[in-house]
Amino acid sequence: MTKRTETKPTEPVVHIVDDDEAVRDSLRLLLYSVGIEAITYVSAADFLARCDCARPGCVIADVRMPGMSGLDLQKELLRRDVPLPVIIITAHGDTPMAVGALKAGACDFIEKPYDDQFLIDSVSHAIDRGARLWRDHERIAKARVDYETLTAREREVMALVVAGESSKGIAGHLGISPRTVEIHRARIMEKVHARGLADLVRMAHLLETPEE
Amino acid sequence: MKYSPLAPYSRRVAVAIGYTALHVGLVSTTLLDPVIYPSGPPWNPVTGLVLALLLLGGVGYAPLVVAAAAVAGFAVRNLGLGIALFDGLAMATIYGGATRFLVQRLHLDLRLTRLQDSLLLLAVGTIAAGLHAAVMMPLSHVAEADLVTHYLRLWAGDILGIVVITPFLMLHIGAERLPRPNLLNLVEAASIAFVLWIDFGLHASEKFRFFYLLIMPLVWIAVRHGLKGASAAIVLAQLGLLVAVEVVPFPDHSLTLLQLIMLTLSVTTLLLGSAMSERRISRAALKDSETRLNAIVSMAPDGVLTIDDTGAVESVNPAGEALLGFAAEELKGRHFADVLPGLDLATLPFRGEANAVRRDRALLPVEIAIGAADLSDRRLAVAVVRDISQRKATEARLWQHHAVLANAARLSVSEKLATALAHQLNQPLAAVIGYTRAAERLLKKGSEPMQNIVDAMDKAVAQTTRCGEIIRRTREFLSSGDLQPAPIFVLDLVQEAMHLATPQYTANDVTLQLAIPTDLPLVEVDPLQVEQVLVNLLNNALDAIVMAASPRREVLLSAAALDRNWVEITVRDSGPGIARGIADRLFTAFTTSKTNGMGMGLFIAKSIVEAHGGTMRVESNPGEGAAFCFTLPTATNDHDQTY
Repeated sequence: MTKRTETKPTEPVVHIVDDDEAVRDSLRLLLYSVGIEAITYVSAADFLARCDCARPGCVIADVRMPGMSGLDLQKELLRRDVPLPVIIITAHGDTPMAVGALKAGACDFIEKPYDDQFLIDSVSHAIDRGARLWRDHERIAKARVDYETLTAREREVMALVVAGESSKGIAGHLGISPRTVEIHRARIMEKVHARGLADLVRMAHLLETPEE
Repeated sequence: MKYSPLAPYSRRVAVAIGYTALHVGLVSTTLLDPVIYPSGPPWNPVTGLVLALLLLGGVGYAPLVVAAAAVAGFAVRNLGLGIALFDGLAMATIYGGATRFLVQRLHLDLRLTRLQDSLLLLAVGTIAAGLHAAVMMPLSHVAEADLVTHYLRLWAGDILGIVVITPFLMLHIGAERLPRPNLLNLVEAASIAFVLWIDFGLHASEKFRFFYLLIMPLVWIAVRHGLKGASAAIVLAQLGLLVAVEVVPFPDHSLTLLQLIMLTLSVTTLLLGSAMSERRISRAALKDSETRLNAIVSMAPDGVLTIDDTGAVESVNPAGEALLGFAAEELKGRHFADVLPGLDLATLPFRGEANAVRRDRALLPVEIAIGAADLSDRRLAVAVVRDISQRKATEARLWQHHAVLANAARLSVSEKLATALAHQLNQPLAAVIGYTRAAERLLKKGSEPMQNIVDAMDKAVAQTTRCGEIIRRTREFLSSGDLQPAPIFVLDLVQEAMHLATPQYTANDVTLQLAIPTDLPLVEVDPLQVEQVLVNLLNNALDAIVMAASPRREVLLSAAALDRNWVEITVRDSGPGIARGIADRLFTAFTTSKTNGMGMGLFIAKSIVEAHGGTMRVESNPGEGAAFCFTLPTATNDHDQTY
């Protein structure tokens, strides 16, 4: 999956969510100094309202904020299936909280005051991961669109093909002629832009990703 | 008519018979020998009887008056029936009208309890008598020249009848029982008889010259017995006079004069008796209300104290005695501040909670309400004191329960504060790093405009300033914390801290000694806060001894009054003393000699003490241990304090 065969992703962006203005601003400047674009938000709600989630990137969120905390924001992004890795930063780190955040899918956990190089490395890593997530996300979205074009019968046939059934077996299952099965298969391949059985299986796998 | 002692039917029949008999009997007393007394009887007692009947029984008895007058006139006075009826009708009409006026317009109290009632009765009676005399004039056969004299004589006779008979009957018929006469009553009666004897027996030749002496027994009786006695005495005197007139023949004109003197005497006696009665009644009412008030106050479950305008306790009820532990006699005259300190009587009324000081110097939480009563000559403060120790104890028990759970947290409060402070400081520190590192990277890159880099450095400086601001604010927060100062004994204050520290001391084999004088003034502090100071100092002292493994292992907690405003508390340990390098930074934050300390404890302790207006210092001689001393304001502290 590391092959960069897909279309080149848009330039990554870092979303900084922190209620402390100086912390936000200094982080933005630090990332700017290494050529990374960053957008700042005063709260989780502000971020959810303004975020351009169509661009790849990552989120840096403070744990303790008025309203929604950084941990809650991370859960919300997962729920919404937004492909942005989250780095949690905190001014009062304690082990259980760090462990909890990482278990819940946080990309990294950084304590203030931070080491600038460590932070930059962490952000770069998160951006890479974000880019992958973004690509996967794009492919899944595309696969879903393609899948929507299939008829009910074609979806039945596709499920059996992916499960490894032969055309004959499928004809037996559905009570139709093997010839009709062959016609369905060709239509499916055409509709979902699959170049072979392997592509079809990979697509089915992507479709299994929970939609929400 | 509200007051009607003659109402029941059977009694009304008895009244009709009794009244007629009395009416006829009284008429017969006026039948003097017309040869000796040609101008007729000196008084007309029947008018008094009529007025009494109508007042006591109501104007419904008016026909009875007419009937009785007819019987008397026909049977005793040998008058024509027409004239007898006219006499009865005149009396019934005139005195019936007087009765209605007295009762309905003037609201006369038929028990004649006030002097005013007697005066009204006499005034209206006098006017009615004047009318009655005028009506009766045509029946008299007198020479034209004597008309005025005769009229006045008739009038005075009517008045005398009213004065003598009416009050007597009103007061004695209404009485529930007939009082038994005692020896003194006999003496009183005898004194009247004696004076009459002086007049008519001993000095018969002097005629009525000594008649005025009669005033003495009459006044005496009026003063002693009030209106009731006075009215009885008048009747007695009048009867005596009538007897005397029968026995000792008088010149006709003397009898008229005698009658006028008797009238004067009777009115005087009656009014004096009435005044005496009123005084007696109001005095009894006053005494009753006092007794009632005393009963209420002495039965009250709350303590009631009266305090005079100098602040001295004037009285205290039994509940107050029990509450304060003082006998009433001990407390009287003491200044109220001895038992209820810290109250200001200048701003009354006051209501609130305070601490009372009992005789055994124990503090008792009380609810106090003080009001002022302006007496005729001075101002009296009345304090109602309710014992709320039960309620406080319940509250305390609930808090204690809470405290057991919160104890661990309370002991590590300095760590908590340090964590909070660290969090506060980490924000600007993070920003400083961000700005400076960004500036550094931009500088190295070389292509960035200089102004952007300078801006970043400026921002870093601003954040450094913010760090200092946070430290200052934290200190301010600690010193302006939510203090709830209350008067408390130093011993009580210290005991809770001791209680918290003792397990640690015992476990480490360190002795904790206490030296608190019993005569220390109350301090006014927030006990929870000062407790933290004490716990902190006690823990530090223990740590110093344990860490240095000192051979002497004791800590002394002592207190002393510096003056009337300040008490100083000292925690002295037998540890190694304080290292020179650290001594002058001791009270600043994050300074510690402990390997695992945060360096916040003394910083917080000093802040708390300063918040109370006190100061904290340390005495240390290396090798001889350290002594931390801090001052607390007394409850009587009059210095300005900023909480």
